[in-house]
Amino acid sequence: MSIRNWPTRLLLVLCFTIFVSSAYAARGDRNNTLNDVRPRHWDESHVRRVLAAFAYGGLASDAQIDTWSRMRPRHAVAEILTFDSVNNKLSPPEAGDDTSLHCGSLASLQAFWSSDDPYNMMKYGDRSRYAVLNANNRLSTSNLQRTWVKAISTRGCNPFLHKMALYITNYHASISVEKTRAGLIRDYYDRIAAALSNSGDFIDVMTVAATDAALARAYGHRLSKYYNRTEVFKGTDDFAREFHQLLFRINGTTENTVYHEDTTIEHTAWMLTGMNVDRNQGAYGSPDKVDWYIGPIDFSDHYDDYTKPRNLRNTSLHYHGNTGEDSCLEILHSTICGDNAGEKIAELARVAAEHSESMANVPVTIIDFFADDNLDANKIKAIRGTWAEADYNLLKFIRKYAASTAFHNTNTFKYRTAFDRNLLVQNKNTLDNEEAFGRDLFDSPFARMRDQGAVIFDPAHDVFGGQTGFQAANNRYLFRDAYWSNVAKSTFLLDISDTYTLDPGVDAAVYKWQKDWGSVIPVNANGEYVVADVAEWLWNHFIGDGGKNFDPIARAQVHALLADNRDFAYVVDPSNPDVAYSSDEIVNGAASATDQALAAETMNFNQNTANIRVGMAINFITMTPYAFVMEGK
Amino acid sequence: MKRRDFLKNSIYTSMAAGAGLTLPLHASAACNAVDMPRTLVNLMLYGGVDSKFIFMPAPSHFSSNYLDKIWAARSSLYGGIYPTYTDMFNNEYLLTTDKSGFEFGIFKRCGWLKSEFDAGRVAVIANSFCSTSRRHDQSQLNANAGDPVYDALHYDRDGWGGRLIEQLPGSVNTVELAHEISVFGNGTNAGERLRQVIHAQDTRAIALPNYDGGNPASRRNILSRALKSYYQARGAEVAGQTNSPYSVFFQHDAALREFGGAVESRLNDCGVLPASLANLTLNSGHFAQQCRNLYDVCLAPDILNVRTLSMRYDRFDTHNNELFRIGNNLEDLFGASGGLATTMAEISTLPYLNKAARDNLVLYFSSDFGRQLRANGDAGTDHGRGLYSILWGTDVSGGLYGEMFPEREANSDANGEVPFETSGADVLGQTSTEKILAEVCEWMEPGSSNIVFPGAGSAKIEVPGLVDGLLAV
Repeated sequence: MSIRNWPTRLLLVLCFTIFVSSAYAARGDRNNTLNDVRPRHWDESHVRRVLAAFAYGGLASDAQIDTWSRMRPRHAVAEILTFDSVNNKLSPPEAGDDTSLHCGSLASLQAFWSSDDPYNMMKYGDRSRYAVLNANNRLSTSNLQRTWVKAISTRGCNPFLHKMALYITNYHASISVEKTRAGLIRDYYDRIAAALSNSGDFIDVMTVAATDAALARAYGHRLSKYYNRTEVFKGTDDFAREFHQLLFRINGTTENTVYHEDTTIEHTAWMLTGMNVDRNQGAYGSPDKVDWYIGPIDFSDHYDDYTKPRNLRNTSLHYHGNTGEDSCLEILHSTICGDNAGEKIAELARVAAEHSESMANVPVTIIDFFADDNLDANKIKAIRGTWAEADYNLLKFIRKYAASTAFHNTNTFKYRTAFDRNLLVQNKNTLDNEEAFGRDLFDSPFARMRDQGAVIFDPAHDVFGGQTGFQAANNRYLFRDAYWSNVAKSTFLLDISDTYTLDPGVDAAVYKWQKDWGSVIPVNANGEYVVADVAEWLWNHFIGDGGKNFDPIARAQVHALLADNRDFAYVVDPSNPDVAYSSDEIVNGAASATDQALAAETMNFNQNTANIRVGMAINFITMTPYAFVMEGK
Repeated sequence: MKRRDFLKNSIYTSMAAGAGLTLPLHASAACNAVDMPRTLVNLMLYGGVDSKFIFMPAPSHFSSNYLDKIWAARSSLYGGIYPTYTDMFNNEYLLTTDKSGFEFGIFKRCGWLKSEFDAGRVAVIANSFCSTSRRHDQSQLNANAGDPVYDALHYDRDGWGGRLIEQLPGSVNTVELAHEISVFGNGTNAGERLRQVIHAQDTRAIALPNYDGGNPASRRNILSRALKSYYQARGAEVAGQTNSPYSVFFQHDAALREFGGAVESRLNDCGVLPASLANLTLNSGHFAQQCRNLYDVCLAPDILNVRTLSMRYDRFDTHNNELFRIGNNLEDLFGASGGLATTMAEISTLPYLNKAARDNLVLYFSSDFGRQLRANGDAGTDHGRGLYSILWGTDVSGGLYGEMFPEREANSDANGEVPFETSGADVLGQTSTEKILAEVCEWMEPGSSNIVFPGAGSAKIEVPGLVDGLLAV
């Protein structure tokens, strides 16, 4: 039908425009999306920024970073950010080590790293520290946590996949190991990682989360029941509320409060009935019955394999289970049907994801976590538009953002959590897998992150997630702890050699890993390692700002540490080492000559002293403010 | 003093002042008797405390209907082991009486709270509310901001403690005793929210590393000097760049340098912690540490220039197993040998010039929200809204404010539903916490409440004038 009447036509067009605009105002306007950085502006700093924000700095070589900096932004980002368990360019596997075959799940990594597989390069003495069970044969939480930390810094494993899985399981749909035990929460993490790799669709990932046994145990709705004969619900509405608020970021602010409380949340609580979790004797190899809960949830009526098998009536005790259309519930103004909780959750997940509050809030929450503590209205509008355009495809959305001018922007900055800062430093300080596996256990940043409030599977705010960058930045004790760590425990970052074995017994062959910064730091045209050049390279390697914030005072200190293994004031005058020289004094004043002399010296990386001095400089650089924040430009 | 050293010290002092933190001239390291100024402690109970659980009607309560309904609604919280309400009450609650002779019970693991109530130092304000939401994040922000109707989730905003501090004379501070800095202490200036906040997560380890007295060329001393001089010199150069995201780290360094050393010296001079605090073992190690910090702050109020304090206790989100979980929490807080009982006993022994430190403290117990009236199916309670606010202090006019056990909870409402029998029904919030906290502000500084709580005048209250005279101003 064609409308020839112009006023009517105009009115209809106007009505349509208003309808579309109002819908997009909440959902995000596909016509207002993120813009790509222009190829001519794209450089190494952009690449390093993407690596830092999304992959803890990554484990790519300088040559690879240079290659990415010469590609079109979108193409470079597509190579950097994948949900594959292995990303050969971001974190290339190393010959002789089969870790990359196991990077898709923590279960597989634990099994491999604790095994005597001939292609397991984990030092023999540490293998038990990655095992599922501890020395008392109980599930080990710390071994599981250590495994995730190690995966981030191991070449062959994709740190972006694991950061995304951390986000989902420890921030977005967060639970604590204290409520689940290590086995169940590991299954949850692994299922999420698999959903990311296999689909990457936000709705699919949230469906996996909402139907997971670990959440059912943590929130307690595994015990929620609907007695169909008497029409009585017995259970908690805890996860019913958080299903909407946390998984889909629907706070109910656009909803009628009474409807939201009495219909949406109440009925969601009824939906979450019939989700009891199997408990199988001897699960995970543990003799302790509190460890025996397993996933995934079987939504049928069935018996589990407990010592005395229990009758889990997950269909019979589900709201109107197996009663066809009569089992439907009204939630979010939609009719949600399904014979069991699993089916209803899958249906509700799509409805919830399409809700205007979810469309508005989910993308902003994701970007807030990864990349920007300074979002403004324009950036948020474009982020929402891109989310609408991405059609729930997480990878498409994040890639678009990572190549955008909203991210690479003078008004963008991101405070780093203790996870972000320590793992980035760890990745930048670990030169190969022999170092990752051969160093002493205390060289893992696990303890540092814990002391600074960041422990995987033990989120600082329980279901509201782990430490945020903003909280980390405001926490003076975190700053103090980091400061003390770099000053009083400097060996952590300047360890240059350890011995290890790959077999048990005193007769086992002893190997030795040796740090060689000279293998990655470039020489100048004369084949020399000049202190000023090494200092710049180190700053950019760890801070990644192209030297923007490498001010004269910092330079003077790094020059002194590299050239003389002393702090700058001590070099100038050992009898008065507490002097704080200003930039002007260093650039134009009496201290200038000393700084220039130090900067011009050369280093010999055939000697351990050069590697130790680099370690001293790293301790200094990573405790400057620029290691605690990432700027967008 | 050499000119360079003089300049160095001047620069450093000015940086600390830029961070809003100045060491008062009269403060010294010596452990002399000092006066604690009037000081407010905001103790936030995170998770949404079921405050109705703490206070229950006596079996002699005038309304048997109320007793029957509340017992039917909440008996499952007590494990189903008590045949009658009276049995439960006699085993789980301590009978007490308010000034008017009204009998009620305080949960038995709150022995200190009961004895303090009996001593007239505890006020319970029933049917209060600090948020209109049932969401943790929003409600916590509302409580810490002191703004019940704020509906954004924007954490870079002022808190009511920060607003109060700005109304007090002199350069005074909020001291955060917990592991995270609460929005409560945030000031009103964007970019400088923490200008008047000192973080004292562990008062006995508050300083940054300095020369350790050993080899000046040791790695430790080299790195210590390199970083110290870097922050000092560079910090002075960028001191005006408060909008820079890096600014906060220079502020941290300046604040820790300025106060860390002075506090450390004072505490060293005062000696080790009393054994009762050093050995304090609670279910929450975090809270035990905060108690130790509170004691230490009372040893150095002149150095810290403290006027408000922030503490927290987590894990009140008792959707299941409530009797056990809330019981452990409450015993940590209010038990006869709990954290506050132990700490206040030690603070009472501190020397003073004019007024004992304990007598100049007021504690306000805040939470996200209250919980629903009826137990859920998991021996717990789900999120509600209204709660019972608690205020403690020598200057508090102790007693009950508002109707503790409103009959409406046991009778049919306009929709024919009895709240005690209705899933979702909660304590009806009738008194905004703005009203209560405005009284606290007036106690701290007469005339301050209008600015700290501009909406208090028109805020909801159960009975006009209900909280007048809550504190002796």
